[in-house]
Amino acid sequence: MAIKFLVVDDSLTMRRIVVNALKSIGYDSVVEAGDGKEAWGKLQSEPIDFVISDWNMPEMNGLELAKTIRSSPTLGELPVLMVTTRGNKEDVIEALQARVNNYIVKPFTPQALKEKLDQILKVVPISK
Amino acid sequence: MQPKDLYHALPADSVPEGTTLDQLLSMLRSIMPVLDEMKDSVEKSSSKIPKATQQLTNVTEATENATMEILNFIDDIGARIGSVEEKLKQIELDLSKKEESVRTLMRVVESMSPEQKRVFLPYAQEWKNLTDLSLHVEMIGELRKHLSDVQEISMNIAMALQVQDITSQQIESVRHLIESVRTQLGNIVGRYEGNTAAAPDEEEERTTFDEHARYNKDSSRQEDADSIIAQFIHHEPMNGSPR
Repeated sequence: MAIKFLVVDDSLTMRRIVVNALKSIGYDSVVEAGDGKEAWGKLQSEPIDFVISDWNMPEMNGLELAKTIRSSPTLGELPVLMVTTRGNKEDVIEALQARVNNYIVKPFTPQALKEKLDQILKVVPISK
Repeated sequence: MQPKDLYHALPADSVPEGTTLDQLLSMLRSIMPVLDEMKDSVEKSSSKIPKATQQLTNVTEATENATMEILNFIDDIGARIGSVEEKLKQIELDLSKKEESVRTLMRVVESMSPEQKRVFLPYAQEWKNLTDLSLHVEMIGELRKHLSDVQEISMNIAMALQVQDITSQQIESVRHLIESVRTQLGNIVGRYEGNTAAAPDEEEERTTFDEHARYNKDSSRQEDADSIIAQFIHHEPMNGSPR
């Protein structure tokens, strides 16, 4: 089953790193976006199964993207994993209140990414 | 009226000597040149800020380009490892075929008459010994292990390059701070020169950086986040503060 990921980060290098990490754990189907606004455009124009998003971005940040996804009648249950440098308690709570499925603090390892993906997919299975 | 306007408006001998006002004016006259000098210094320093912020931007761009270059090399290593892995599989297949042909040969020789066996068995045995592939199989296993280790090291390098994203956020934070200082200094100079327009309120600016970003591989930050997530999911009160 090929899960299609959308990786959202305004840093080109971070997008490459996340894509490489996904490939190393067996996920090859990935599209990218440079900010939340571009990501929202892609979500509305092509089928995507999972969103991995940074927080601080221009146009629309990761938190705003998560809230926009959750308020959508068609995309509201899409899994969203926040991957960010923000590690304060308040930030984590704010993200959880925006109903992201899980949260990774940068810098992360491929193992940590795999654990988080597995945790989410256990609760939100993706059927193809 | 601004202090320097007062300074220029009242000539030196317009106020009786020894009065409080005279003393005040004397003090102003001594301070004004210093303030003018400070204003000039502030303006000169502020004019250098754009160059400083541009240099910070250049640093970020340079590190991003270098990081992308390294990631390209890592992708290249991955592709080559894949190519070597394919060749190892072909070698294994070839070895397997050779082993099978040796077994077939031995079966054929075993099925020969005693006289034929006496002639052919030594040669078949020698051929079997020459094509002993157990060492090759072991070497292939070791090569595969080395490839896996190289792949892991490449991945570790790629993950360490997250430092570029984190440092670029730190640099952006500094750049933002410097620009903020320049704006404040500009406002102060403006007020000194008699610009009575109120400084605009500092708008809630959308930032694209985390001013607290740190490259810290210590797992405690993730553990703290996981603890909060676990509490949130189980609806427990968020007591205490993270480590």
